[in-house]
Amino acid sequence: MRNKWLTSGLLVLGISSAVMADPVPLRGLLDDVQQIRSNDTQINRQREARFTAELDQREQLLKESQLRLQAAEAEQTRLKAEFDANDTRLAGLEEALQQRSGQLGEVFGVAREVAAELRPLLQDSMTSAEYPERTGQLAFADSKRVPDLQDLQNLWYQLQLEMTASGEIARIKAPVTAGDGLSEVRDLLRIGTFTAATAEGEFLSWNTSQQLFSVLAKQPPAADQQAFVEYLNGTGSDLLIDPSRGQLLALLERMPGLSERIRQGGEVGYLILALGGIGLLVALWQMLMMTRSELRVRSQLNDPLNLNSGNPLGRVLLALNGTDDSLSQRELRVDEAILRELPAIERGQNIIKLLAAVAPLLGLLGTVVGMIATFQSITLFGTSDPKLMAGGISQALMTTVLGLVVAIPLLFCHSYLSSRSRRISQLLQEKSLGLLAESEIGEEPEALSHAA
Amino acid sequence: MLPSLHDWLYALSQFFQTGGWVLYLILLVGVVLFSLILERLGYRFWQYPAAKKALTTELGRTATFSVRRSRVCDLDIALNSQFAMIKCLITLCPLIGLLGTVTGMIQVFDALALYGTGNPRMMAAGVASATFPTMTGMAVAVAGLLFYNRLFRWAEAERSRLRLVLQTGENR
Repeated sequence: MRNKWLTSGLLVLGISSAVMADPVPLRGLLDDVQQIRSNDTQINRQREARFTAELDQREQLLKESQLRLQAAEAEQTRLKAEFDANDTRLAGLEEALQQRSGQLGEVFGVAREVAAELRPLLQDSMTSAEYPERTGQLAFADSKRVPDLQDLQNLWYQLQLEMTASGEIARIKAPVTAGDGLSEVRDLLRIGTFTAATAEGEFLSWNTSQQLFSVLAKQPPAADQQAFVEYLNGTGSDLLIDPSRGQLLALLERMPGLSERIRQGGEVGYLILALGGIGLLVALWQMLMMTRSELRVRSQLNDPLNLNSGNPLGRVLLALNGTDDSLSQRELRVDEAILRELPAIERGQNIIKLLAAVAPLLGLLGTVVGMIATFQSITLFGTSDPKLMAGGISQALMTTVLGLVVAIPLLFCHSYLSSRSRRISQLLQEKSLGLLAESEIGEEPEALSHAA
Repeated sequence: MLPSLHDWLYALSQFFQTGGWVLYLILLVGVVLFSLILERLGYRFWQYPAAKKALTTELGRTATFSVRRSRVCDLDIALNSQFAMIKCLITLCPLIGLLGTVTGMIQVFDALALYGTGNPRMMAAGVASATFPTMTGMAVAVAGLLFYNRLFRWAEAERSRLRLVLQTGENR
């Protein structure tokens, strides 16, 4: 460790002894420094010169800018004066315009107003199918410019055109949108602005938003369509026209059909219809049976000697055969046989009567159920919406209708059947006794008269 | 000055159009009802007197009670026929009128459901077709009832007279 320090100390001594030993290099250093100093002075002088030159330049620029500002200000005052002059001139001109146009301003206002009113009117009208470009001619209603002579003439012409077109029956060709969404050009007959239909008798509605004819989803009755075709062919003279410009025809779509009505009746309605169907089947069957037995009774009456067991009268009379009783006993036998025949003749009448009585009651039940539903909807939603209530009530009434519709034919059938069965039983009763007496005529006529 | 036939027909068609399809049903029932009544009237004034005369002369010849009874029964049945049907049709008329009233009410409520209470014109059509059928049904029923009562009472009287003839034999 001590050795290291020693050697480094010796080295330092050695170097300093070497500098001290050479004086010439120091002189050179001084010269260098002097030279550098003179160089710096020169450079500084140059910089100073440059700065002063730049300062002069800037001052020159400033002067120029001030001159430009002055020029611009002068220009501004000149322009402002010009603007003011123009303004006053404009006011003068406007005043002149107003003075010169005088009452024409009012005319233009009215023309614009009428054009604005006419445009939706024309769009609503089905004559637009023939003159599709005419609403464009009324565009001046929205613009600020003064309507020119052409515009005024257009307005007048369109009014006149619409008036004439609404009073004529015209055959036209126009695109028609069918129910499947496809549109094609077809032959139409347009009656004023009220009704239009194709040559096949399909009634059309005018679609205002698309400016197109479309086929009504639910057409008027076929007879009206047929009348239209006949009118088109020149064979008919009657025609269905909707005076409300298509609104009434559009309402047809909202009318519920028969099946929809029946569905409105709900479960009670189906029950009533099922009962009515059963009743009608029973009635029809019984009518057939009754007609058959009545025909057989008549044929038996025409042939009284040949007793046949295939009919009620024959059976009643056969009950007497082979017996040898007194007359009063025979009459008892006849009564008994008739009593045996009666249930077959009167079969089904009671059930028909029952069904005829039950159907209106069930209808009433359905109505009451529907009314309960209506009142429940009132407790939930209040009376604010009459549409909600009215729908329920019309459904409720539907079951009453169904009940009556079922009851009326059933009542009719019952009355028909009962009057016929009464006639047959009367025939049986009296004819059997009469035949009995006729076959044994002359035997004991006095006893017969006593028996009655 | 009386209105012409055309005016009458027009008024009638208006009536039927306002009242709806039920009126046609009432018309049908009314036609059947009055044709039955006419048949009864014809029977009363033309057929029955002749039939009764034939019966009395025949009863004079055949004295057997049962034969007489059978003959009287024939006439009785002929006398009594159709009355049940007439009565049934008379009871049906107001019922059909009621049906028309209910369907008219449904129309009213349908209009209410679609348009609310704001459109009284739509409702008026339904109200008209609700009141007309009841009125018509009543009118037909009352007119039929007048004839029915007279004819039925006459038939009853004739039947009791026939029974009297039967009891007392051929006299009278």
